[in-house]
Amino acid sequence: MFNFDAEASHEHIIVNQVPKLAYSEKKDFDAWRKELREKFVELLGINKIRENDCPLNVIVEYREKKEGYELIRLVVETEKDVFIPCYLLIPDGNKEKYPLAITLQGHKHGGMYNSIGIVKDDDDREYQPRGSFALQAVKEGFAALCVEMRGMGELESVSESRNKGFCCRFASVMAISLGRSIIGERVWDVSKAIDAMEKFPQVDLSTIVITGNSGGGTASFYAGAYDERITLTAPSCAFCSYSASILHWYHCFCNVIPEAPRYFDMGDLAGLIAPRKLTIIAGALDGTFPYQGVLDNYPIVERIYERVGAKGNAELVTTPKDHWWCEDIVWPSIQRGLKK
Amino acid sequence: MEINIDKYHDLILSRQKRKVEYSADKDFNQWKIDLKDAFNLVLKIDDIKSHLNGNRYIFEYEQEFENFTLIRFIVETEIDSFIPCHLLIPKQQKEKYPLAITLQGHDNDHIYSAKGDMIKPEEYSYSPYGELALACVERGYAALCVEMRGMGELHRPSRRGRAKVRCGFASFQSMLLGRCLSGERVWDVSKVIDVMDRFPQVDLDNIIAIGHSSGAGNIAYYLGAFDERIKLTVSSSGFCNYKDSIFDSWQCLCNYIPDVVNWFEMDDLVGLIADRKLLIVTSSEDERLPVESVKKSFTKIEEIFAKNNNASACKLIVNDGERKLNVDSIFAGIEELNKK
Repeated sequence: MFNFDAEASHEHIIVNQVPKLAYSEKKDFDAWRKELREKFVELLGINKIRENDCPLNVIVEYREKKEGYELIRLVVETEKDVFIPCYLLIPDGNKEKYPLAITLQGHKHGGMYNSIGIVKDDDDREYQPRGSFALQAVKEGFAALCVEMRGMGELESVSESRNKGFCCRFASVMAISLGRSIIGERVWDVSKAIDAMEKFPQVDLSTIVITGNSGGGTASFYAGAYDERITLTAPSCAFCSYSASILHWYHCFCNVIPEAPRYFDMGDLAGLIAPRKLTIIAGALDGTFPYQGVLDNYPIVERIYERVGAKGNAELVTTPKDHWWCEDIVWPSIQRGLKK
Repeated sequence: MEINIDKYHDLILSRQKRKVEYSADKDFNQWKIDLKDAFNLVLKIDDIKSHLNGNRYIFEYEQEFENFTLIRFIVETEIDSFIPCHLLIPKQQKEKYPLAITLQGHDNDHIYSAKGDMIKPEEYSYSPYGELALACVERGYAALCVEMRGMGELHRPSRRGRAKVRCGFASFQSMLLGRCLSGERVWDVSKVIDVMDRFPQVDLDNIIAIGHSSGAGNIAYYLGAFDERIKLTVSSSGFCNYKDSIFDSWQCLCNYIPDVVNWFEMDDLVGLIADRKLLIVTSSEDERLPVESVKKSFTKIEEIFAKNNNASACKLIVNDGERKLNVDSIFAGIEELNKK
């Protein structure tokens, strides 16, 4: 009998393809970066999302005084008739302005409410205080912005027939079918949420950090590549070569950007972030985005930052954990990165 | 304010213009040309074609049964894509037999539908009529079972991950590589037809494609649109406009096609079948393929067939009850269409 492997044809493509926009020292850097950006924007579907763009519309739903900060619940219309809920936390204190930390959750049931320490069940309880990214940011002296990721939390499908299985699956396939990607939509929403910050004079938009874990780390990384207002991008447990992660492991479908691996790998996208700051946090024991895949791609990041004369602006920080948000490592790394 | 991502999706969907949507105002012949180009573009046929590798045929074995001879072979439809097939040739003393390509949907080891004894009876969801190929043989057809990528022998249990439905990972990986599983499956079947000239008992002027349920009923329809050698296309429990089916309820990932919303609805594609014959079989209580939507599309289908001077060559059968393979119904429809 003839032996064959069900996945061999895809494997042939994966092994033999050289991403068309892979970074190389031989390429004219500015021309390469321009082409990379155009393709990145196209593949994320941002051109398609932009067709449904709308004027800035920010609705403040409520403000609450909390211990150490003010909690503002707002909703941003990021596309015409598409409303993305957010939380903004402004620290109490004597400062006129606070640098902004955008904190994004991954695939944790409940979405962004975890970032402000809300507990609704035992699973939430187990996730705290580790999962309260925004409260941590406030303690670090930031104004914290939580943006709900499409497909998660309040943006999970309400319809029973659509909401089967993993939270963001349906929203992801809708995005793909529309010629977009849910990553592109999330990046777009974050960018629009930054636009909304002009309404809040206490937020210092000259210093913006973005961070998150897992799916939130992924969105952080791509948002950092897209929005040049972001000063420091700090994805946790998300950066990894496509080959070591999504091309060979059945992750949530929200990781799919159709055709992306044929053009670039994650390391190449550092070309859209450099010379701005990039702090990659990775778990040495991470089995979801394996550490070897991080090590495979991080040299590309180093080469790009060297090329732009900003070698010190990129850092790889390794935690001893697996797929885990280590607040005791993430925040000092972010602070260190900002001081450079 | 109400946050409802389902409403956002429905609104965005309603705003999309399909570039090759059928309209009576359009020049019909030009529309068909544009539709064909769009179909090949969206299903990524050119990319798959670029990996053609001689369409190698590999004979495995021949086995005699009481009423038919079974030939097992493999076709390399693109580099390293080895598609197992079973061809059943009836023992009815005829020189040539019309060819029925039989495609199974999810949840069975599909090509083994040709040999019920290879599967434990309790695993059949609709035995004895699940043996579509055997039913065709009984009715005087040579039956060709082609394994669908991601199913049966073409499913490798995921390394890790969530693949409860077998073709999830294959779909995921296909989209990352800039393709879609529907396009790959259509291509595979078409390449298998190419090797049928090795079998003088098969009448290649008389080919029917029959697919049942999600993963096959839709593939049979796309195959009919793609390969003009298919004289009669039978989509059983596989046809319904995307808006009312896969965009209204989560269905297997393999149903989704990147960017399709911007190009065509499922019923638009009938423009590529309208010069031949089409039978659509559906069920009155199919939750995933609402019958009212199918009926509404069929009005449009009849219009397109009429415009192609082929008005009597399409038929819709609605069976009572939930989704079920109804072989008698299928062949009644085939017989009626073949009389015309």
